[in-house]
Order: sequence, then C-alpha cells, then structure tokens
Amino acid sequence: MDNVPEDILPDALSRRRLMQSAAGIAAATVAGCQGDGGSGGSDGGSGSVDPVQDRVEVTPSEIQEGGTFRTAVGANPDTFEFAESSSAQATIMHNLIFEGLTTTSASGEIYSWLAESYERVDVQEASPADYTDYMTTAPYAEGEEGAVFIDTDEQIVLQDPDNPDSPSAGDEARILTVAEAPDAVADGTYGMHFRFQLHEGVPFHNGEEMTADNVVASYNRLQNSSFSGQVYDSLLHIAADGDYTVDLYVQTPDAAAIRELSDLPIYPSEITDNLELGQMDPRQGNMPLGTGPFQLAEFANEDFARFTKFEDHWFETGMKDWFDGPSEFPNGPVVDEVDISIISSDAQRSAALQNDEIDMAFGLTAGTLTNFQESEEYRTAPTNGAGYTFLQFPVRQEPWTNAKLRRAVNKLIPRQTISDEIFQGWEQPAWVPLPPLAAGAGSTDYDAMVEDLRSYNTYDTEEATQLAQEAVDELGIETPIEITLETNSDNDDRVRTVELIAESMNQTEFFDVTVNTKEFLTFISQLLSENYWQEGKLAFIGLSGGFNPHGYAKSVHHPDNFAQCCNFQNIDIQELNEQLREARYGVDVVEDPSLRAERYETVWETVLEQNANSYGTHSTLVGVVNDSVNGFNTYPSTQDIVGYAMYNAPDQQVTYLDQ
Amino acid sequence: MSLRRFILKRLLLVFPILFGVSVITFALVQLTPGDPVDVVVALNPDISPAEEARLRARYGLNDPIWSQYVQWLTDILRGDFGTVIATDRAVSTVIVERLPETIALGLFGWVFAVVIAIPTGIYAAVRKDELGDHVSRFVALSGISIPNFWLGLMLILIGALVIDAWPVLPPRKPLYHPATLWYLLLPGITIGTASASTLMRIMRSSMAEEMNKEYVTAARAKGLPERTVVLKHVLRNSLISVTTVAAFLTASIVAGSVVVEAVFGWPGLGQALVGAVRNREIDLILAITLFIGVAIILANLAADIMYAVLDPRIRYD
Repeated sequence: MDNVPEDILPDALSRRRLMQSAAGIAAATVAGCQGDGGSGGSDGGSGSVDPVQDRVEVTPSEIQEGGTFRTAVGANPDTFEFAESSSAQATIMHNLIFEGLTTTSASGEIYSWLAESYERVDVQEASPADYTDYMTTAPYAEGEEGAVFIDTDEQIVLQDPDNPDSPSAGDEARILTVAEAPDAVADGTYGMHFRFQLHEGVPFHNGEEMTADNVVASYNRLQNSSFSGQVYDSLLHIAADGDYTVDLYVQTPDAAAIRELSDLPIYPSEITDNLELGQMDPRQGNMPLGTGPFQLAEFANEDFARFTKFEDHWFETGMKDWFDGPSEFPNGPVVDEVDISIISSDAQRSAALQNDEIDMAFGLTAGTLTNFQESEEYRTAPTNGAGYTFLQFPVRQEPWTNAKLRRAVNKLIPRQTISDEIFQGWEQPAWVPLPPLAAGAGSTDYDAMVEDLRSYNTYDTEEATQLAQEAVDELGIETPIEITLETNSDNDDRVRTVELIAESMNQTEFFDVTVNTKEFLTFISQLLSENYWQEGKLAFIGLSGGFNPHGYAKSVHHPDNFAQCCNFQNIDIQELNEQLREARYGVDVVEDPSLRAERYETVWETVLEQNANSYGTHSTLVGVVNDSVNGFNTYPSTQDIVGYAMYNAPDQQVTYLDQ
Repeated sequence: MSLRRFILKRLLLVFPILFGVSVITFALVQLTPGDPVDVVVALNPDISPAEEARLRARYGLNDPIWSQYVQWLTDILRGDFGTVIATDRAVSTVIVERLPETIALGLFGWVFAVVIAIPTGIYAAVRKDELGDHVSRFVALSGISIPNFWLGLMLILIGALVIDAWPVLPPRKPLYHPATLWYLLLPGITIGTASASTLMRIMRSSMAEEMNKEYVTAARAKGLPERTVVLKHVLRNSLISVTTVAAFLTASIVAGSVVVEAVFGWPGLGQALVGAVRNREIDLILAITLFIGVAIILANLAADIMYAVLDPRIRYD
C-alpha cells in the first residue's frame, strides 16, 4: 500500500501490513532465541540495514523533558476502536494509546514488549483438511451483487477446502468457528503453538493490572470486527494459562504468523467486559484505554486530539534483555503531550509547519519536501517506505493476455525519470518488486538480486519495440492498440506519473493511450467491483506492504485478492500461487529462513517474467520537523510516524523539544 | 395581492421547493458511484462478504431507491436525519455541533461585505467616473472574479507566512472567545469578498441612479449641503435595492462556506459536507444539502419580503 496519506485505501492496507509487520520475529529465529524474540531476528525486516536515512541520534544527557509535540494528520479518526478502524490516520493515534505483546524496530526486527518473552513451542504440518472432524456447517447466501458468502454470525476460523468450488445460495459450507477451535487444539491439531510470558505489574490507564485474561479477551474482541479477516486467516485459538502466560495457536505452519498476530492491542476488562465492539470511542461517550505511554486527554471531532503522557507507564529499559543502550536512556517518551490537529489539506499542513503552529508535517508533495529540505530552519527525515506504485494489466482481455506485450509496456515505464523529475528523488525506481524495507526475509542478497533482475525494469524503447512487435505478430492484431490508463485524480504526483507513462507508450507505433482520472473512492469502488477485469483498462494505483515480503506479490496477484485489494484484473497464475505458498507456509520455511528467502527470490523472478503488474516506484516516507525538534526519525509506515518518533526502545529512538 | 397573502404564498412555496431539492439531491447522491459500505470495504478489503451484506442490510442500502427515499423522508419528518456510518453518530448531532461555526463564519462574511460595500459604493457613486470610481470598479470586478479557494490560499500565504500575523489552523477556542475574531478574519474576508464586490457595485449603481433623480436636484437647489443630500436622501432610497441584494447574498455566503471552510479547515457544515461526499455518507450529505437549501430559500424569501416592505410601489401577483 501506498504510504502517501492522500490515499485512503493505501493507508488502510498499509495499516494491515504494519500490524502484520509489527508482530514478532520469524519462527525459526524464535527457536534460535529460545524465548526472547527480540535479539535480532527478523521476518522480513532487513535486519542489519536501517531504512531510516540520515538517522539522528540523541545524547541522553542532553534530552530535555516536557513540552507538547504538535503535528497534524489528514483525516479525522474514524474510531478509536482499533478493531473497527480502517484508517492510517486513526492508527497513528491508536499507536500512542495501545500496545501489543511485541514491538518492532524501524528495520523490521521484532522485540518482546508487553510479553516479557515468547517462544515457539512447536510447529507441525496442518492443513484446513485436518480440521474437518471439528467442523460445523453454515449455509451459503447470495449478496446483492451476486457474490456468494457463508451466512453465519459466528466467527469463521477456517473453511473446509472441499467446500463446493462454485457454491450457490442454500448450499452448506463446512467451517471451523471459534467454538470448535479449542477442541482441535486440545487434540493436537494445529500448525504452530506460541507461548507468551507477560510482564507482571503492567498497569492499564485505568489502573487495572494486565493479565493473560486481558490478552485473550482483547484478541476475542476482534471477532466479527472489521479487522477480523486480517487475524482469523491465521489465528486458530488463544488461551490463558494462569495469570501471565498466553498460548496462541496458528492454523498452519506459517513463517509470517508471529508477525501477523503478536502486536494486537491489549485492553483492560473495563473495555472488553462492558463495551460493545465499536463503542470504545469518545464520540460514544467512552475513552479508549490501553497500556500505552499516552492517554487520550481531549478529542474534538474533526478538529484535534490531545494526548498526555501516562505517568504510570510500565516500561523500564532494564526490564528487557535485548536493550543494549546506555543506562541513562529514558524509559519512555519525554514530551508531556502530543497534540494532533486534523487538517486535510497538504498545503495547510505545510503552512502550519512554516507558521510554527505544528512541529512536524508529513504526507507532503515532492516539491514541498524539496523546499523544506533546502531550508535551514527545517529538517526532512526520510526513510525507505513500504509503499509502491504499480500498473496492473487486464491480463484476461486481449491483447493483454500476451505476456510479451505486458513486458513491452513495462520497458516503456521511465522509472528513473519518474523518480528524478516527478518525485524529485523522494521515491525510488522499483527495479524489483520487493523494496529494500522487506529485503530480510524476501531475498538472500538484496543488492545481488537487484543487479540480477534490474534489466527487466530498465527503460528500453528498442527492446520494448521488439517485444511489442513479437506480441502483435503472435496475436495478429492491428496497431495502435487503443487502451485507457486510469488512476486516482487526487494525487498530483501520481497523475503526472501516469501521463508520463502514457506519453512514453504513445511515442511508439503500438499504443494509443488515453488517460482517465477519477476521484479516489470512485476509482477504488470500481477497481473492487467484480467486473472491472472485463473492462480492459490499465489501472495505476499505490499500495503498501510492510516488512513481510509476502504482501508485495500476493496482494496484487493472488486469486484470493480478486475484487479485493488489489487483484482487480482477476489475475490467477498457478505457478506464482504455488511459489507464494511454498515461500511462506510449511514447516521447512518456518524452520529455515534462508530457504524462505530463496523461495521468495523465485517469486520475484516469476512476477517479473509474467508481468501481470508493473511496479513503478518504491516510496520514501518523510517527516519534516522544525528546529525545535530534536532526535526525530521517521518510521517506514505512516501509522507509527508519531508513536515511533516519540519513543522506540529497540532503536533507542526518542524525540525531545527545545523548551 | 396583499403583502400578507404574498408572504403566505411564498412560505407555501418553500415546501415544494424543498421537496424538489431533496429529490434532486437524493438522486445525485445515488448516481454517485459508491456508498458508505463501499468505502468501508475499500478501506478494509479483508472485510467479509457476510459482514458487507449485513452492513448493507442494516443501513437499508439493498432496498429499492424509491423505498430508501421514502424511508429517508419519513425519518426526516420525524426529526431523524440518519446516522454517520463511519462514526455511528447521529447526523443531527453533527449538524448541531457544526452549525454555530458556519453561522459565525457566514455572519462575519456578511458583516464584512456590508461594511466594505456601503461606504465604498457611496464613494464610487459620488466620485462617478473619477479615478476612485475606476479603482473601485477594478477592485470589485477582481473580487467577483477571484475564486474563493484561491483567495483563501493567498490570504493564508500572506497573512500567515509573509506577515506572520495570522494562524493557519482553526481556533480551539469557543466561538464566544474574543480571540476567535482574529481567527475569523481571513476566512471571513474570503467568504465575504465576492459579496462585498457585488454589493459595492449595486450600491454604486443605485446611488448613481438616485443622484440623477429630480428630488436630488431639488434638494440641492434648496441649498442643502451635499453631505446631507447624499447621506440623508440618496442613501436611504438606494439602500432599498442594496438591502434586498444583501439578503440574496446571504445565500451565496452559505453556499460559499463549503469551499472556504475546506480551505481554512474551519470546522463548520461546509467542511463536514466535503468530508461526507468523500466518504459517501449519504445521510450527512442529504441533511447538510437540505439545510443549505433551506438557508438559501429563507434568504431569498427574506429578500422578497424586505423588498415588499421597503418599497410599497412593488405589486405582487
């Protein structure tokens, strides 16, 4: 997903990927660490490579305490109920209030957090078919647009793979729900088992002490929430064992499971026992409560949110074995308050920064960033982002069924020019589908891989012409091929990118491209419809992944993502599907990260060879701060841009203000 | 027709007009691709088809459009303006929260327009065809021609960044706080400029026309000082048309609030409407549009009534 905050959809998915990314190290590494997940493992983070460019560090003795860190986000938080939230802007706020069992550094390494430690107890082969004996049934129903779905109010954990291939309304589906999952676990049917030992004495904002029951109740709160699909594609069952031990079971051996499941927010029983899902919001008369370093103090809908430091926050650096910083490093954020204005206009946020009404702005256009970069009064803090742009081909419509034609267009995308001219260097050409951010689990040697695969994506009109000619000859069609290239209109840089691509294509004799732009939600509604793939249009949009390499291929290729985000064109490449599965699922890749990385390298080559999607640029996320802000570094995902800057112990990250 | 009957007739006309506004708005919203559930799905693509179906059923989005309209109209008549799906809040609550902000901004813009337009219009009429008149015409035409959003952005640029005297962000103080006036200045000027320009030209024309009339010549012949002629006799008669136009301009100020509030981040109804359109919050769009429609209709009604009261020569059919 795109990290550009103008895009609502990209933000939303970015959030999901962030949560996936912010949740633990690879299981194999866990085994190696024997229970303390923090010491350097990674499930996709580059490990030794810090994606934060020009990182600034602070000297603990110089840190000043107090003050209010002021920033602005582009949209009103939809809700403070994490499980019902769907926006990055909201998650920025949530991440100040809530914490999970693990936390993540900017390079994707996962560290135990509310959990004092965790371990992978075991991993074993298990597939959906193994759960058949525990399954129940529910009827299929048909939605308004003809989509058939399983009609039940129960939280579905798994579907039997032998369910009808093309179900009709009234057919019975066999499913495992949360009610039956414990039986399967009790009988030893599960893919993975993790055990978390919680820190004792962690207080919630209301004074209640966090226990294992709170963890279980918090995870259960996700049932049938908007967020549930992102959890129950992996989670099988969670249970407390005493006051401070939590057992978490995963459906199948999944190398990314811990990342997906270990950083979900934990709430006190005052929330889980008393409030319906969706009610944890000041607009419903209820303040959100967590264990986080900040509490929501004041919220004016559509206007601002003010957070104050939680004075009883539990964390001490000395609690964590993995903390290797100086003893005088603070045990939490040093600012007293975080004040977040809600300002939709980029220009207004930029002006507010210049007018000293806020201390940090992000989500600004490339030109604005360059202006700030050239000013001595501001510091631009860039980091490799998780976002990327891509052009998706209508692979099921002639003539785009021909891979050579798609590769020809791919060779006509002037990535370097786009990066240099439109993004003024703030975004990087996507020479490979995987950004450096996720290089850890997705490649054995990222630089070597880029070197090997770069030629697929270099601008080369001669080769493009040759490929296009071969495709046209094979298809026996006339040229120029008329095609519409679509993107969202509310992102100026993106529109200019698309116009440049269209111009490049039109300069050949093979294409006659018309650019069509639409307001984002209109565009995305059409993309997510089930018949967009039949319209034969090229779609250009942004997306964001995370530290887990899987999303960079699956989201835009896999049939599971058809009519969802973001396989709009009904792409279904059996070879790639299989390669994706083998790279993430199975005891072998869980236990051998290098094998997993090798398998992903195969994935990237197949992605480029098939070229159902052309990757355009990889994003850079930039927070711009004024000169009263010290120590600020930007997190690779928008969703933690404030929380990370305020305090992240693994990276010894803390921001303070000149008073 | 008596004035009373005229007013009654105009009042009765309000209802079919509002009905028409509601039908057209509802139809336009339905024609717009996407609905709130689409937005939820777009924002959260892992949402299950079952949940999507449940949401559609809950908000009646699967019902025929006419049925949705009848239901909406029925609810409105009961005082239920619906729900903002994203935040699960009553639309009426949002409107009540935002309305004072929009009224304050509109009032400021209106006062600004009148305060600027009347003296400038008088001056231009008195100095007809002189340099001052030409300058005022140029300024007025510029004021009418410049788009609100551009003027707003320029005022932010100059006021906040060049002069460094105004804030960029909206106030966090209550509306009744004196400091709010300072915050109101730039958006108020933005929203009032076009109206001030229009009003100024009307004032100037009206004054110029009056000053050519015989009673003015007679007054001057009687030896009345020019100041008395202008301010006591001409101004009073000129204000008839200006007053009615000012009422009409209230409508344009209300409508203009949508753009100006978005530019300045002013937390009023206009900004809420922009957000509602972006998020396909149908109930909120309809309610705010209807509200703006009511405001415009009432402003026009007030203008007509004022015209009738101020100028008894007008006959109403």
